Amino acid sequence: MGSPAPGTAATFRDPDGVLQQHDDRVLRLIRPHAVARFKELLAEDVVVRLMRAGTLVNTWPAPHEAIPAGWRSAEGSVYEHERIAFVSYPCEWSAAMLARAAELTLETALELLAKGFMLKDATPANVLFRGSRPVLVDVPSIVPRPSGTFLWLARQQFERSFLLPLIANLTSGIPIAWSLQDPGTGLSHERLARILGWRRWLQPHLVRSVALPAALAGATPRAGHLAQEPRMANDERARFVLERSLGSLVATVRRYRKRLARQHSHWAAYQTTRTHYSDTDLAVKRAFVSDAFSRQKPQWTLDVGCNTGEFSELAARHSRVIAIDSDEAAVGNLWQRAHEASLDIQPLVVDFARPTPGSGWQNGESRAFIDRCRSRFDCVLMLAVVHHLRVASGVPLAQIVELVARLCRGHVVLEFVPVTDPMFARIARGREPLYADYTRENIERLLGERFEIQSTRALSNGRILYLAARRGPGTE
Amino acid sequence: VQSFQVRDDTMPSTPSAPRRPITRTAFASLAVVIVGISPASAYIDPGTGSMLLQLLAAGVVGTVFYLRRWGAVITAWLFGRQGREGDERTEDPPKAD
Repeated sequence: MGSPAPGTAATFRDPDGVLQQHDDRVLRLIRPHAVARFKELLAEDVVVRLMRAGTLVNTWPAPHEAIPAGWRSAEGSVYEHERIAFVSYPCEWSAAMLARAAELTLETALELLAKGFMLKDATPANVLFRGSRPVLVDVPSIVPRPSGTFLWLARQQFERSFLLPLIANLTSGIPIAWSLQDPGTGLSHERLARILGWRRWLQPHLVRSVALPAALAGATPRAGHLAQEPRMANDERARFVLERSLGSLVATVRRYRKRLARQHSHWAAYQTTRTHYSDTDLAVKRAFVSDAFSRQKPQWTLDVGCNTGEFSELAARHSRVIAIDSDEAAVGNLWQRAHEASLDIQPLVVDFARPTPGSGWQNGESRAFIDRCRSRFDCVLMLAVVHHLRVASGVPLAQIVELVARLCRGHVVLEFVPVTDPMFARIARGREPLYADYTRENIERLLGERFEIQSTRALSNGRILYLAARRGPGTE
Repeated sequence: VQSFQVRDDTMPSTPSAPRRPITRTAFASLAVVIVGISPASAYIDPGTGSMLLQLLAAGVVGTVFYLRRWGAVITAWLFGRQGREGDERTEDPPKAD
């Protein structure tokens, strides 16, 4: 069975199996020692119920023809997982998404506990999002709970990869992406203790979650002590202790979720304080975008610089949406609304000018954002974002159009903001001469090389809307 | 089956807080009180701090478990009832540990 091939996204740290994607299938090779247990697990009522509810990824024995040649002679059994259509990583989530993923992990752990199982690990890397809803995807992390077990051995991993990044975000504004560069390891108690300083001793939840674990992290038990997992003789008592431990974590995470839901970014007020758009222009823009969707009927839409998500929500009436923005609070607000309204929008914290790189072992465990998006989208929305990329990020127009063409296999709806626009002046701050290439003629020429401009609409505020269809197959 | 790790060395670390021998001894003693031995199957590091705090919490919550049960027995004896309706744990007689 061997290691995964270099460059392929896979997991291989779990001694019970290896996960790999082959063509369009997600396959898991379960090693011989774990096959019987895994087979029994899939037949368990609680597992079947979680899969039906959509909170645990669907899993079944892989058909013979789906098994890659390299695995046919391998010892063990191959299972297939339902493919989650768009894979995002925890470093791309807003704090609110991480909090919901944490809540799901704990809710699942509690449900499993009642039926004699537990989660042997608990990291956001085990969770993916189907639209705005999290799904637990690491089925082999469900294991039978040995009698008398009262410690959750994954608790430290849960704290480091869920709880502490949330605390760091809420108390000090530390981006989730910084804390979860490696979602399996997360943020250590000691590091967060240094970030918080004396504040960690002021609130009971920080004392329990940060200060005490950090103070005890260097403790070395005497030889023989804690060398093996302690158990209680009375299993009912052990389960009671575990239930209370998980229940207290759920309560903490729900408190954080509520705090996050109350937070508003400066972007949240954008829609109401927008002075550069008249009601008429806004109505025209909405009608233009809506008409484009009605006519093109895209399956997948990428909204670049989604901002408050006004147009992502409009797009979600017609297609599945990936909405990206570099502002974490804006993404969090959009996720909150999408989750409450069950919209098929996955909002992600991604800067289009510096998209997520590949990471992990051989840069292959997490794929780069651009790789995941290549020729993926039937529609790309670039509404009032090109001037940000040109001015704030310094990317030449030609390269912006080139990248959009690489991701788009259908249409692009682009809003051009002229240099005379007050929003352009705000970010250019008198440096307009540096952006001589930023003209209407140039954007139309560059668009025309890769796309066929099908429709143009000038707004009274000077902005111009384009609907353009990708030339050629769009499979670069 | 993996051996059970107790040291937390998975992050590029920051200096740990000064060691407190009395605290360590107290936690270690608590561990010995509760301990029963069997092999573990975790492949992730459970962390010393997390383990010790869980042990401490288990000591408290484990005591609450008995208090609730004895409370239910006394209530049943006084009022001739089987504890609160819907509370499964209070319906069984307490077991010795």
